[in-house]
Amino acid sequence: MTIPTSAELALLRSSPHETNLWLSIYKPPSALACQVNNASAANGDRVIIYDNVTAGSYGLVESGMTMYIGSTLGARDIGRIRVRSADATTITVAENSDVPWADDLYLTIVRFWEIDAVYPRIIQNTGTFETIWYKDYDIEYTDQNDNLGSLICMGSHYAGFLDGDSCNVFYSATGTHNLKEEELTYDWFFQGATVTGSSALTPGSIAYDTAGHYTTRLKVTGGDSGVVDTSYRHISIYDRPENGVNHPVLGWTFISMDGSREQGGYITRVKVRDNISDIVDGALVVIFADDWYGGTKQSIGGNALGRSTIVYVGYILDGSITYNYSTSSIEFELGSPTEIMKLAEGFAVAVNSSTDPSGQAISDDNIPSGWVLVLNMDCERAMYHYLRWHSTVLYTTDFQFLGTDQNIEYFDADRESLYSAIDKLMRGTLQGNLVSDRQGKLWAEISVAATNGASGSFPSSLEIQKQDWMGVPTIDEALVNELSYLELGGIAFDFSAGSTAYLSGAPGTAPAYRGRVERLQGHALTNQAQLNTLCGNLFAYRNAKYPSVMINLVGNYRNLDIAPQELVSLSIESTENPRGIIWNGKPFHITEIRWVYDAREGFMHPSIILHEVTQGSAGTTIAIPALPPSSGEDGGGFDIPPLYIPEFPTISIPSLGGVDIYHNGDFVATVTGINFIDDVCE
Amino acid sequence: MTYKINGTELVIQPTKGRWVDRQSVDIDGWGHPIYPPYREFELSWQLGTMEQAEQLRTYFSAVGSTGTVVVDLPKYATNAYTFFAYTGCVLQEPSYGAFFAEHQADMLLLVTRIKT
Repeated sequence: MTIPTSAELALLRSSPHETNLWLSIYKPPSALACQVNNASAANGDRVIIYDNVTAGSYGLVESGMTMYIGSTLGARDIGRIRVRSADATTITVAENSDVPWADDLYLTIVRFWEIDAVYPRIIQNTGTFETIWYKDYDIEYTDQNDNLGSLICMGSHYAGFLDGDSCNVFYSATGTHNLKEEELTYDWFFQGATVTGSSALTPGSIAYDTAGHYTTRLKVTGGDSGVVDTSYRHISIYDRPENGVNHPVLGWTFISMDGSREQGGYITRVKVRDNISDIVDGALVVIFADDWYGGTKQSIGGNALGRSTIVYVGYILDGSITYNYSTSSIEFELGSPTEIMKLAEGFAVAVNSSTDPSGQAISDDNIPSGWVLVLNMDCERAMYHYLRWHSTVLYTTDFQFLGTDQNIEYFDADRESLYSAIDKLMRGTLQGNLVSDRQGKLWAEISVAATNGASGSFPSSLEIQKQDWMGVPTIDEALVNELSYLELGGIAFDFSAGSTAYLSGAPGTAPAYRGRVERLQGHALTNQAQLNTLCGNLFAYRNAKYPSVMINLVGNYRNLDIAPQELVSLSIESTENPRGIIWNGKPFHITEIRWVYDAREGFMHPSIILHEVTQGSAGTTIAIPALPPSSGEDGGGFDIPPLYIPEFPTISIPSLGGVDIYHNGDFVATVTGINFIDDVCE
Repeated sequence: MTYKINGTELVIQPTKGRWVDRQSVDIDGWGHPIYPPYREFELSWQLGTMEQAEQLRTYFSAVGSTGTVVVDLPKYATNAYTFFAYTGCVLQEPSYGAFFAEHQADMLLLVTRIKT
């Protein structure tokens, strides 16, 4: 939805562009406030006995909520933990060892779902060599990797104003994808709205008439498997500053908002002058806008349907809050969900593809659990498995895969961050990456570089004309190759036929005469021809003549984002530049965006950095030598020569000649065989 | 036709008032200047009473950090000298010159974020 309509394009090219930005910090309401009721509570407890309920009830608690642990009512000074479940007397939380549980600590469960790792657990079956595998401490394998679920898209977190006593929030689950292409049913719950639920794919505009902080839940169920996936979005509704008392943060300053595909998302810096107790590490922040284009009040852009007013969704990054006592202000950094994923480190995970995970787990002695097998695995299924069972990411944000996926036989994630695990899979197998857009949606995309015929494969979001940019565009022209030779290798995996390895090189058999040699292995492929095409295209992209063009746009072009990848075209006449470059609708794609906002002038505009879209010639096949025989008449193989261990040499230790005895300084005699049994003194 | 803030007439009307020239942000690819959407209006008093100085300070204190005001100003770009109530304006902190004969000299109030 970042491609403007003709009407939107006309607005983009009208003037002036006016923007008012607003800052919302989600203040999660309590679902249950109580105290620990266990005199022997200690580190490592998972089931917390409670009493003294001061707010809410256990019936309001849902899996995945955040619980603050404090020494006073509502405090979080002791720690925080993810809640699994609650009943009338106990709260079950995620596996932990760092919370110093103690009697009478204050517990506050809030309606806030955060991004965290979820730990697996492997224990040895008593008296045997068997291991028992669990996810999230105690979830046994039944059929989770046979019956795969859905990657939910339900829009961004939201903040907005009551206008005329109502705030309409648009909801749609468009983009939700079931991994087995099952028909889906939708179950929406709109907390705080005038309509409480819907079963539609696109419920459309839902009205809120009271200021407050709410949560919307969407459950998506696979028609055949019955697998239910759930996701949550937080909704903050405010009175306008001239009305009511529930206002967003008013005394604040936008410092910067920089997005980069290479970094995987946006970092935003903000300064707040109000004394806000809600500014804590991990808090959810939404920046939203009132926009006018040439006097017409309208917002343009944003990938979430009907959420154009949402400029940015991020979280306060841990440790980024600084207090300036001289100016009485607080400054902090906000990060896209990908930045939070970088802070959360998961356990190593390894899964294999299987045509029958449950069956193979029983029949194959080498398979300890169905948890290590994924049905007919491709990259999207591997990512779903990791994010669904090893993180809470899918609770909190949209996730969408774009591009042509490939089968993979193995997926191994190291002990690394959640972001690194997914991004490395995308980069290593598909030449893609994981990027968060401004509104916090995660896009796992195959890069423009790795897409054959990219100029015709990606949508074109804008033809940048002279009235769209200001100042002087900066064009980097690479006159020397970065790469002289690129070798790519990988595996084409067929679920029944198995794996075939391929190698390819570009530009051909002979390398170019400038640049370095690079070898990349481990790609997931279709066949040799696809690898040759990929190799040639990557070689061309890495050696692009125009790897960076920086342009300052003249206004609020929020239709542009770093994800999903879309093309912009540029036209330049030879008389307009000293190099005589002629571009006539030349396609580029956005690699970075830096937003500038001047509140006094109401003016917001981006600088964008573009990379040329290239198309290479197919690389050449490199024949993979057959494995050398290890035995038989054809030779090969080798015998391990007998190891010769040299004789250990005899070491002779010379004996002591004796001890010279002196008395009052006069030598008496040399004696041997003396044992000293007490201190020796004069 | 008087200067007002939030509907209240100023104790003493300013000696001078002027629309501040907008500075262009930059020029576009065709060479046209790009202007921000808002204008600014400057009210100045050569000499004012302490009561008037206090009135300006009060307006700013009330809305200086977060709120907006409605300001009655000479309408921008019309063929007649008429006043118009501009809403959603922001006041910068008033500036004051030296005291003179128990009066406040050289007072200046800048109204920003005026949408014309």
